[in-house]
Amino acid sequence: MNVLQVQNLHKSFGGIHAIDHCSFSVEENSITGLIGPNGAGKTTMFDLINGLLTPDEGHVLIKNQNVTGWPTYKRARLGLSRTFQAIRVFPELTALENIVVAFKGHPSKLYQAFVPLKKKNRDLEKRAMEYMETVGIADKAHLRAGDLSYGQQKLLEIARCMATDADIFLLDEPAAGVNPTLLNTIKQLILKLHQQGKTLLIVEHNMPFLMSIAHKIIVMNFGKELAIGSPEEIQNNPRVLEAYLGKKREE
Amino acid sequence: MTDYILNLLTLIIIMSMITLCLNVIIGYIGYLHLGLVGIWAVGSYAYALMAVHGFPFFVAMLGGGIFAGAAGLLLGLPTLRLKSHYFGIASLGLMYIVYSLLLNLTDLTRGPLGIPGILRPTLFGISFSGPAMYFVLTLAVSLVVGFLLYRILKSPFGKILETIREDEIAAKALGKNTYAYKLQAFVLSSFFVGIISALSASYFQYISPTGFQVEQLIFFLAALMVGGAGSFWGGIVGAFVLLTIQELTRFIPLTPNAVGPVRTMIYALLLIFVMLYKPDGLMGKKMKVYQR
Ligand SMILES: Nc1ncnc2c1ncn2[C@@H]1O[C@H](COP(=O)(O)OP(=O)(O)O)[C@@H](O)[C@H]1O
Ligand SMILES: [Mg+2]
Repeated sequence: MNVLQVQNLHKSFGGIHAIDHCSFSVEENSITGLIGPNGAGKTTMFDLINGLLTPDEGHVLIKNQNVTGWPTYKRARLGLSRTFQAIRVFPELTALENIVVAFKGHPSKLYQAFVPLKKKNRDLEKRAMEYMETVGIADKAHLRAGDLSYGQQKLLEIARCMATDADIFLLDEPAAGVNPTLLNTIKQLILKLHQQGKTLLIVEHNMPFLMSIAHKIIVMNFGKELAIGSPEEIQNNPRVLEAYLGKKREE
Repeated sequence: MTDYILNLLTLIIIMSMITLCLNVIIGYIGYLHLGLVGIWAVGSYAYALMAVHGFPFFVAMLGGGIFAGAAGLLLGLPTLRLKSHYFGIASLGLMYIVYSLLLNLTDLTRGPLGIPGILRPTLFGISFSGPAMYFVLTLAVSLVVGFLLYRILKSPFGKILETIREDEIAAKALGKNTYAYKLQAFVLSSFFVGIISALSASYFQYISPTGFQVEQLIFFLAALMVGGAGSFWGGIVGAFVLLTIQELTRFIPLTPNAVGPVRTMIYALLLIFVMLYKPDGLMGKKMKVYQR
């Protein structure tokens, strides 16, 4: 089953067709790579999928529901989560708080300021701690999130997505700018999420990394899908080599 | 002398509470709220008009809260979808709209003449008109308002307000209906400004449109910046410091027409000093006036 479908999606900024009548779908419990040269429209595609941008034409379907007009928060509640190319943690909150606020059961209604929540809050913190352990930054739980290293913030962002109980993860360049050890941690984390039945759509420039985990690759160029196939097919597709991989290899 | 101190303390408490309400918006959700004085004016006039028409004190006070809260709702509904700096401009507009309404709806507001004779109340047979008793009343009401706001800001609801200040886009992506949170925070802040308006109007016993202008807005903004936006005690400490300094200038021997300029200079120096050495304010957190 396809949990995510993009149909004939179009988005222009002034004269630039950032997304140019693009269509593809993502299968449930798959790891799908989304690649393309810089400026191909990958981040814009994520913004359209999670509702930060509205398309000029076309549709976005999540779990077979047409969510095209929906606000971002409603799409998130449907099980869609994402990380950002430029990290967006809540820097003045502690790392732990960053996770606690992401829980669906976070008792954040106004009236709940006046009911006793000690136990509930302790439970939430305990659960948040488990997520911090999963991504391996439990010892940083009580630091200001803004004081974590770049890599730790990336892990925190993924943990925060997990805490929302999402089953679809859009990861925007999870491997960019991280050292080999962390790269491996992130890889294991992605494989673990996949094992738990989650669906992942990953934008990434690190080809060995992506090719080693992805089941399917979607190549975008100039806002359009250029090729869709298995990692092997994509690596041997002459059009892709010309538009993207070929140039890279010559470097 | 004691009366003088008590009057001063009463004023400090009142201004602290209004700065605290401003902090809810600027410090917690990170929206540049420049309409505060407009909300304060609505609350003050609502209270004053009800009080001079014989409504009981607490009823008139609640009326001030409800009218101010409604003004907040009307301003917030269309503008809280905007980003912080656009919201700032729109909310500043509210102050000017309210000001010109107060001047021109003369049948209701008496225009520039203002509303005199706003008495301090007698409750349960006890008169609260003297400095000591009025101080007690102010303190009691402020403790209740302060306690409620403290509970709210320290609760999970308050945490979500902070995520909006920190990164509204990320908050949305986590499934938070940020618009609903902002609107609730704004109505809440406005409502409490209206409640405190009852205390300020009865403190001065007279209100007029000139009391609700940019000058007052600058005082509250300066108090919040000095104290530190985003920390609960920030606005309270800031208002305390600024008003204390303002009072101390009285003891400098100055010709009357030098008092105003000297006071402004001292504010300016203090602000520059704080911005240089403690850019987040005495108590605290970053004041974010832009959004990515
Ligand atoms: N908000 C925007 N305003 C104008 N142009 C934009 C905006 N966002 C993206 N673009 C343009 O759209 C194109 C695609 O950008 P982006 O989606 O960031 O590419 P990628 O993530 O694949 O590198 C680029 O040409 C970029 O300059
Ligand atoms: Mg990008």
